[in-house]
Amino acid sequence: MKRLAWLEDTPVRAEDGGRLGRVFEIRSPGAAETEPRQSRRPIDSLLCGRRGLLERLGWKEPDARVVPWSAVLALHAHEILVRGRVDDYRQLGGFRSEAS
Amino acid sequence: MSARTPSTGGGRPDYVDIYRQVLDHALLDADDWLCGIVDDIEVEGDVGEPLRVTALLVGPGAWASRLPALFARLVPHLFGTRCVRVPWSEVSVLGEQIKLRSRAAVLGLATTDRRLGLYIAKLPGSERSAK
Repeated sequence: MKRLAWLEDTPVRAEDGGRLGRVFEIRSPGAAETEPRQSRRPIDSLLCGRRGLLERLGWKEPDARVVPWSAVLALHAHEILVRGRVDDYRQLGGFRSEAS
Repeated sequence: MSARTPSTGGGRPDYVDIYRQVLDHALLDADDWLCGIVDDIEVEGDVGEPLRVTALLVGPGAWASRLPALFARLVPHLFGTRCVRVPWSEVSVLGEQIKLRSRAAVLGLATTDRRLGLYIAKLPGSERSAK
């Protein structure tokens, strides 16, 4: 059985060694309502970025990058390795989650 | 609504943030009884395969692993290793709380509360014992 909570705040690194920051959001496509009944809910991407003290306190919005799950190459205990380079991933500047 | 986050026509995002909207949220059963907190999330699928949420995990056996190593080793001795698996198909609505389709007893949730309730009902002065 695999669990998801450990992924939170795990550092993400690209194949070329570039750092994408840490995972702070896991996105599942579709609305919050679960009708019709689903036995599984897909996860399509991770949002990661560098979150300093000001970002965590809400003073600054973190810069987020969207990493599709299909780009993940390896899950290590303390790091996630993803395909390609940092610039390959779409950036959401001044990101603010609107899911909650 | 920001142009950066895709949304449905109604202005609501067309995705769910599994951390912010599921993890650590309270569970309500079919009778709207509070019956636990989502302590972890079970997934299936490996690297190179689709990843899917399959169940919510509730109990010390689920949250112990999220603690720092020292506390994680202590928790099983103090609180046990019980971990209740709630299949995702039981999830009815995601919101401030997560609404389930079945009653807590059917899912094996809030068993300690119910057991304690039976003992408390036997205590003199308990309104339940008077019935």
